[in-house]
Amino acid sequence: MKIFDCVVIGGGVVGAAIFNKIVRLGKSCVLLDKASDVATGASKANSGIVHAGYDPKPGTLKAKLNVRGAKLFPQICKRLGVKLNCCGALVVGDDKEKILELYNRGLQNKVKVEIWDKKKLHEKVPKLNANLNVALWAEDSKTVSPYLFTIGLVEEGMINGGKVLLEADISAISKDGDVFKIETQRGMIYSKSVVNSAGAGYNQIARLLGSETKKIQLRRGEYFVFDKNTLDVPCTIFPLPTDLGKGVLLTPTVDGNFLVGPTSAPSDDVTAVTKTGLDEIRQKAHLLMPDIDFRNTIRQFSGIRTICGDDFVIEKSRKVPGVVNLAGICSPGLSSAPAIAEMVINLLGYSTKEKDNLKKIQPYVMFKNMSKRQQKEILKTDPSFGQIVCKCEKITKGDILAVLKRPLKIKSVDAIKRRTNAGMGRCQGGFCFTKVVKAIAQERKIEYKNVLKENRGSFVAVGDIREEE
Amino acid sequence: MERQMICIMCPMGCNLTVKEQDGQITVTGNGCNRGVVFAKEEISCPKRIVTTSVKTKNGVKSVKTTASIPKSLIFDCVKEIEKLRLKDAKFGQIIIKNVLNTGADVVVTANE
Amino acid sequence: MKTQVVVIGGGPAGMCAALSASKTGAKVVLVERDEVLGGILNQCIHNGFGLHYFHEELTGPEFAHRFRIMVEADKNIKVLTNTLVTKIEDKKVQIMGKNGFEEIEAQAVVLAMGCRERTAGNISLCGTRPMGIVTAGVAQKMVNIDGKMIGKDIVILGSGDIGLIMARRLTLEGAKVHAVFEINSTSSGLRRNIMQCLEDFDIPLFFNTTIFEVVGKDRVEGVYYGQVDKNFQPIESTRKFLKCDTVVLSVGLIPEMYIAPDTITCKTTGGAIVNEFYQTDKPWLFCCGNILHVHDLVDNVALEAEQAGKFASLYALGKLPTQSKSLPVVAGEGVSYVLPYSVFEGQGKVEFKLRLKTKVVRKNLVAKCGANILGKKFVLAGVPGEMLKFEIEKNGASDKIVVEIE
Repeated sequence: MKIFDCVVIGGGVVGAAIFNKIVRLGKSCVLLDKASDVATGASKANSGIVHAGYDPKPGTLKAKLNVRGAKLFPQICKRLGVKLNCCGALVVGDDKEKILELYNRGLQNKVKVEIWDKKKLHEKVPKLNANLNVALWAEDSKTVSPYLFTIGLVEEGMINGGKVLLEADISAISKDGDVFKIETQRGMIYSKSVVNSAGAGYNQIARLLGSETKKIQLRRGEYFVFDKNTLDVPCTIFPLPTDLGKGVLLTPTVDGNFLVGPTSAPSDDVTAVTKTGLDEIRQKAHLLMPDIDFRNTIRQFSGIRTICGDDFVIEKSRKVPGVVNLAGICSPGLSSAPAIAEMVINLLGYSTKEKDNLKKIQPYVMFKNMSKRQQKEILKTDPSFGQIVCKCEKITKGDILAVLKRPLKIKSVDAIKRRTNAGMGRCQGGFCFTKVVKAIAQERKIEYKNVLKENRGSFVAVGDIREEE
Repeated sequence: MERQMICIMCPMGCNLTVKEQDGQITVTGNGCNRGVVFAKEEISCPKRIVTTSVKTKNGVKSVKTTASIPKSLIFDCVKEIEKLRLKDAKFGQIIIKNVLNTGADVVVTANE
Repeated sequence: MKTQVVVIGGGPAGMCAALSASKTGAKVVLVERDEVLGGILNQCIHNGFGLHYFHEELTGPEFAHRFRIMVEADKNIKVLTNTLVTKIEDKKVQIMGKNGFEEIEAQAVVLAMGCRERTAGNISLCGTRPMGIVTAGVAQKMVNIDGKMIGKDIVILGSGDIGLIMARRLTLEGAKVHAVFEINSTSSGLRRNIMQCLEDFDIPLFFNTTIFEVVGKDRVEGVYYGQVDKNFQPIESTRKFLKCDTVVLSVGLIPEMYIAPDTITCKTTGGAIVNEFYQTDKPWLFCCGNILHVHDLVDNVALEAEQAGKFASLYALGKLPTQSKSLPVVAGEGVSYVLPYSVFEGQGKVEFKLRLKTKVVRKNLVAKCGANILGKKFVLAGVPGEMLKFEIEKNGASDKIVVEIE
């Protein structure tokens, strides 16, 4: 019977960062998620911004962890081979007082901030609404693919000895002495400690653990995704923040697309887009940039944020020794994730020294981004890199098969999409959907109809034509 | 009796008016003579070409009836095709001769 | 690689343009992204193709086959399948295929890539995004090419032709198609398809109706639907629920012009602005088929592509006659667009292709240059879903030509 040092429940960016950090310390760790891939909750559906840290109230965990997390991001991304878009961010408005307030917060949080006048602002963003005449510039704000970052952390953990169980719903947790016994759909797991980073599922896990439940509010954020080259948005552009959050923003993604959103509305755990939400985004986005043409949108999505009071909750459980609770990790959760991991290993009482000889992860490099020489070489041995699958994002069959051979054994079309961008372009899978399905079926040796779109129950077909009765 | 119908003989989709008086049928609105034939048939025994797929070893191949068959037999015709399990099906190959005694054959239309 | 004409897209338009360019004397490279030539025709296994071109009723794969064997037999056409065009820059075409990235230098380029389908994202479909929301083209590919059943209880949004065809196809395969919802007050599909695909199988078609919201986590579980007002806004009091596992979208097509983003395009069609020679604002760049405007008959695509291929070939060979003054052609009252967008001053006939804005019964279509009537055509019954052809004598025209409903 193997007893792990720690079990991390929830494969979002926070769980992944904790899992990664624990493994790097040389401890044994298991990451559990009920979904068929990691980063399928809030971590796949957010703005993808690594905030500089001027916004959170000084002295809060949010302020401390955001600033520290943002500092750690570049080196981790470099290590994982995950792209960061160092585009900077502007908070724009017509109220100098409010911008000044943010500026002072930024200084208190020790973040590089500048105040820009109208001229400088409109030089940088010529299409901005003319009545916006003052801005805060934070050059350290960046964008990242939140799911590629999460996947990178998880896979790096795996090649260094960490264990990941997907589709591992937990049915019961008991404690025998100091050892937790966790019954999952993928088998029994024994562990000395448990980290509850289940996001929207926090209370469900807390109940199984017998640890503290929290008053958690779910809020839905809806977004529009714009096609490449359809917006003149060189950096992230925020309106002045309100009590409800950072507001409807415009931002370039690492892939050259643009996100416009989010809304913030109380919600149940359903990631739907609504007419009210989309109309609100249109209206608010036009206040920032009047000539945005929403006909250039290629998709809408929504994500669920969990909110638990004003600040993050990161604490040792008082009720159940050995448990660490993480609740209400909303924005700036992505930016803070690396720092949250540091804080959690501290709470777990681990020393901060990383083990020697950590293995380096192979970054995701698609054929189109390889050097000419690499392309020639790889085509000699593997002609599947010469077969187009996704025309919008120029992804080859070889790219897809390579992703399927990685340590985390995914089997869904959406998991491929997050890793390669196949299906993320303007035709939204019109050309590649069936080709991706076939590649997954081939590599995983499963039937076409049993390939998933995302999670269990999302089979791409209901059967074969002329199925044997 | 007067009936309006859309001619389906080609994608032009002419608006036909069919009048029946003392056993005499007159058709107007047709762009070509095929419209007259269609309209007369449509009020006595409507017919359709059936297109579907046949199961082969490696998947499915598209097939069609070589002529239109009575509309009432469409589902029966599909059932006949559904029964078949072919090793292979080549372009133009007849897989059912004179399906349901309609005079039409079922042939393979896919060519890869 | 060097050639005289590059044709991009191996569907009906591309194959016909390549054949015609070759016949006119040029060396041609035909580039197709999929494994075989034929394009969307390969998955259109229904009949109704070829009556005008071949005087024979064919299915899509059969229609494609006729051209494919001609292309394969033509020694002046080099076919590159499994090859994607990634960039076009001043007669240089960058491709990505079995040898990685390469470049073809040509004298003329013909765009014949057709359209992509409008997606749930393009129409901002509300609700969740589970499995079971598929465009009609993807549904058609899954059923007809891959032999997979996409669902059992189907709702179709939009009355485009492929949606109607799929309503029948899925019914024949044992699915229950509960309804087709069309947000407009008329169908965008052919009348014959409404008759033989819906009416024959008692599938209801609701106009002024749309899906308000899709429900379902992993798989579609149903839709809320209802009527819309004049501004296409949902009327909440008409909201109803329908249980289904699949939503097929047939809500329009978008010309694949992204490959040549700086080409001047028409707001209505989304396709390039072309003259009588199917030439765009860049003289070496030609367009034909659905990338130019959505056709309802592939036979018309073939004829149009033959013209475009011929002119591209002549241009590449330096034989395209220099032309007289260019006269703009404008869509007037009741007409949504007219192709070509300009003609050359002079003698002879010209054929306009156009679509109407609304349904028209027993009216005249006229082409005028000032007070001078160049041609007239009686329209017995015309609908926006169907393309009209209109031939006129251009003799005497010396200025802007307006085509309109009288």
